[in-house]
Amino acid sequence: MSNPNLLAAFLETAWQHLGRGVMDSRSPARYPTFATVSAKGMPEARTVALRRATRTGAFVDVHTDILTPKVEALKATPHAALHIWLPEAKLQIRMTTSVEIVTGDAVADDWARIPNASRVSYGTHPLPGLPIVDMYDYEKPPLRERFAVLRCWIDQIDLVELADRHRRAEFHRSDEWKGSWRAP
Amino acid sequence: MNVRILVFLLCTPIIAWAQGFAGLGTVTEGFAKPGPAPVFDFPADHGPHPDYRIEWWYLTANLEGSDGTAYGLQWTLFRTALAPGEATGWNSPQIWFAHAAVTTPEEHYATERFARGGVGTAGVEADPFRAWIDEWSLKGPDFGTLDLTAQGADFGYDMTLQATGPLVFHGKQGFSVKSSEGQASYYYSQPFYRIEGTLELPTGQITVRGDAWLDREWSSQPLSENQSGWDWFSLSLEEGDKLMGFQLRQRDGTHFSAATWIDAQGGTTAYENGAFTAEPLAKTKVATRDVPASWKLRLAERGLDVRVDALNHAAWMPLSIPYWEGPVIVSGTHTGVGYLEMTGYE
Repeated sequence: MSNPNLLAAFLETAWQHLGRGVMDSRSPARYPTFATVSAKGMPEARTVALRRATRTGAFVDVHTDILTPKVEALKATPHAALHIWLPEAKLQIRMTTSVEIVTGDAVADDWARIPNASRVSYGTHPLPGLPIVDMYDYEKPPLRERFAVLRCWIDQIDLVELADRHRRAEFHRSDEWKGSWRAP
Repeated sequence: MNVRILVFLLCTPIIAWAQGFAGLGTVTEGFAKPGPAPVFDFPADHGPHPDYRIEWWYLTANLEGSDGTAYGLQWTLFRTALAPGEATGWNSPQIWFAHAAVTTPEEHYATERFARGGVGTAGVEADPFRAWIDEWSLKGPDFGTLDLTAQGADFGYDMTLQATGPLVFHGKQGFSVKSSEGQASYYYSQPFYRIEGTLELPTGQITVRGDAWLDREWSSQPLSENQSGWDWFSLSLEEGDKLMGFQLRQRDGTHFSAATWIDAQGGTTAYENGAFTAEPLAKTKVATRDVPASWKLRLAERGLDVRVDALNHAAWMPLSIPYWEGPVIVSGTHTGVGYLEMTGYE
């Protein structure tokens, strides 16, 4: 009979890595790949920084400039996939999420915790992605009103561990994260 | 690690004080009892289970200084309950006590703390993880990333721990049987911590690093009346495998044993009574007791036949609950380091 505690421990390991990613900028879990579907229906992926990982409620937070293309994509399709590869643990974490774009007073505490040096990521002029003449032909003023938190409510976690013996499991919010083993 | 406290609960004056002498014969009344096929819930199960009578967060570490000198470290927080459940303030029936120790090849330092539950001076919170008693603490954002600190009159330590492997479950998916009569506990471990930090000794500060092993166990049941003591081993082998093995010494001269073989990835194989054997070799006089600080361990199904020798034979814990606990060196078919605990050598 399968031991359900091994599934629980596998998921616990993943959450520990996510927590470490938030706390430690040297952790590979700090910088997930964040994939969305554009308004034109095309896949888009970019690297983001993991800002919060909360197991109670099962969500992770990513910060963004509200005027970036990924926010436009999320307005069209409010879902994102996050991918993390942890080379030492040989563990892939994939999360399928439903994304809530949080702005205004609700993110005041988050903004307050951001160092001044990092606030310049939220206010680039011209807007991110627009063409510029010279490579440094832009300004980066910190603009509080363009700051947003992408709250990614996790619907599914897929874990693949490529140690000597591979193992894979899938966990769903809908079954309260009990999880099930999958062929790797 | 285990049922050790069950021995303490039955045999020691401090627990008689805590429980009342009348309680020793009926220790499970009203308390929850471990049952087969447990399903754990993380991170909640890293926290306390006040409906069970006894519980511990038991950390041991094999350390090495920059000059290659071996050291051992122990930090344990125990919870014992006067009655099942929790209540606010001084009405809490929970009692906490903790042991801290450092072992060097020449010296052994140990001390203890006590606290009532319910008033904030000791406790455990699961998420974020925090276990504390007075200023001693083991805490972090989660169970995989921890900071550890403790101090005694003549020693102390500040360490950081990082888990590099999964939790492992002993017995049958965490249901660990302790006797033929069915006494049991819930028992899982995180045996894959890397640990580093600073030891404060009378000779000065020493920077160390190594491997640590944290046991989580809770139960309400005492050992069988036929059981007089306990020898527990946690070994980290150079090949990357690990072994937890214990034997309970029974008054009729027989033993009840169990073991868990843990491969380098955290895969486990549980061995039931009899597969793992521990034979005491030469005894040493420690604190007026005759204690076997050298052992022959065998687990035939894994081809394991090793000698285990204490780094320091004098690793006696001269506390309210006295016992022997210290780092060991493994030689034979496998080599490595580990920890040994022995109770009941009164």
